[in-house]
Amino acid sequence: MKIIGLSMLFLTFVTVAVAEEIKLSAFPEIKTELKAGEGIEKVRTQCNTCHSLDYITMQPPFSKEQWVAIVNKMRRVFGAPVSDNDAEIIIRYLATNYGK
Amino acid sequence: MNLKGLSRRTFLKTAGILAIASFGGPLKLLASEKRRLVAFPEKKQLILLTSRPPNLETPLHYFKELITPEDVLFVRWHVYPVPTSVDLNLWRLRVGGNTEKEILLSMEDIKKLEKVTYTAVIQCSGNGRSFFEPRVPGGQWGNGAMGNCTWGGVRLRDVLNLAGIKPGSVEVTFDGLDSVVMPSVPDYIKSLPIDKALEDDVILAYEINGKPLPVLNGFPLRLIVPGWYATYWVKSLTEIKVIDKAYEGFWMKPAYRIPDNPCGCVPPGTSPKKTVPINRMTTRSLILEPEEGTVIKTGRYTRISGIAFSGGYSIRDVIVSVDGGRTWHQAELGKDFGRYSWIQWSYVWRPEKPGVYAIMAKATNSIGESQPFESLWNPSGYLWNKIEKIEITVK
Repeated sequence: MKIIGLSMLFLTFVTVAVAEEIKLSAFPEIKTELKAGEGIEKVRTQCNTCHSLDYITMQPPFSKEQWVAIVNKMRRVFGAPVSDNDAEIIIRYLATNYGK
Repeated sequence: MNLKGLSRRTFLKTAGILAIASFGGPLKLLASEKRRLVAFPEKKQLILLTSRPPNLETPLHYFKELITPEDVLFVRWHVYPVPTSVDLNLWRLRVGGNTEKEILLSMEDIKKLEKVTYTAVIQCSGNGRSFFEPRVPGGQWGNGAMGNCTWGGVRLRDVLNLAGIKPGSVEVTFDGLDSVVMPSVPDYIKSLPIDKALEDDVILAYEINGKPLPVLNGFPLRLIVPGWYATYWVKSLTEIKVIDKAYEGFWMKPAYRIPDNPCGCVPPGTSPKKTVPINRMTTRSLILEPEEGTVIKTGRYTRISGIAFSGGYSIRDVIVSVDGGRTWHQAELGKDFGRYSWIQWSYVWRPEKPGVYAIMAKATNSIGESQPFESLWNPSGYLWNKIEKIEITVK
């Protein structure tokens, strides 16, 4: 009980002390393993520019058409600078390794 | 005998908690979709969806509390980089556009306005998306992209009146501290119709549960539109602009739209002809006890309980079925925390025969809105509110 009381007091103190200027400590480092496959390097470098790779591993299996639509959205709506050639490699990788 | 039974129950209970910790509840996730728990700054361990930008889900067991602690509230950011530090000596809220004047407000200025406090459910538009069939792309949330918190702040209307709204105003836009990694990525900006923006309960909150907001939940100030999905609850506000036409940036159009019909749904796998911006939340209930797969003893009193809420209209009643929807019983409702809060409900049941039982709960709000037995599908995976069905065994 005493320990809980003390730590609560400490937390209150910290909140008050940093109320004007808040700076978060570093975010946890999170590594996402992609399935090994042809084109993995393109996915690692290109997709990772705007978002972490768990955006891929989070998804359920999608058809090739669905992956085409997703990659096209990244390029056309979000302006991801991915060439036609690279897009094809990325789509093939996703449809093969994260397809249904 | 007794001791043996007890330790078995204890084991099952522990196993149930572990299952929640790993998978966030009774999600029917595929093996490839296993989630892990991570602790971001100011937050306890939450279920990781994505790390950059961070998207984190609340483990379901926290919803057994009426008020969701801020350090376990879900986190949802659209674009990156997200704010990681804020100095209130430098931070200002810019209010302008179709107004008499443009103003810059410090937190001190804002706190001089009348304070408004209430409890309201915050829920991501895509909460429950992972239950859609056929599956749809997007954040694969289970049921944990929601929470029930007490918000404290000032009326948006009072802030807008400081700048003076000019005639001909149609919408108000909201921008926050999150920015983009390259100029082609659309900045996260949302808009509200002017009439909505001027409502009594639409506030700019600087407090959650009586404390400053965690940075990942929108410190120092976030828009609260109670009853509406959290896509509008723009975090870490920096600019509010009154405009004289509808805003059509990416996050209003084509993103965050639902089919323009009463159910917000289309036949599975098809596209809607016409869409409107998503707005008010659908009515939902969630079963929290017992957990899926629980084994109980014949003749034992068992408490079935959970929560229910709707888009700004109090819950009128919750009914519970233990036989897969054939017969229904009135659940007892807990303390009413107002029309925006969720309400706790419970029903005590004494199973008389061994077997597998399908437990269901159905909520109805004060204007008669309820929940569907079959899921209503839309291509973005929004508005999830299908009646839940969990199975338990009586031995």
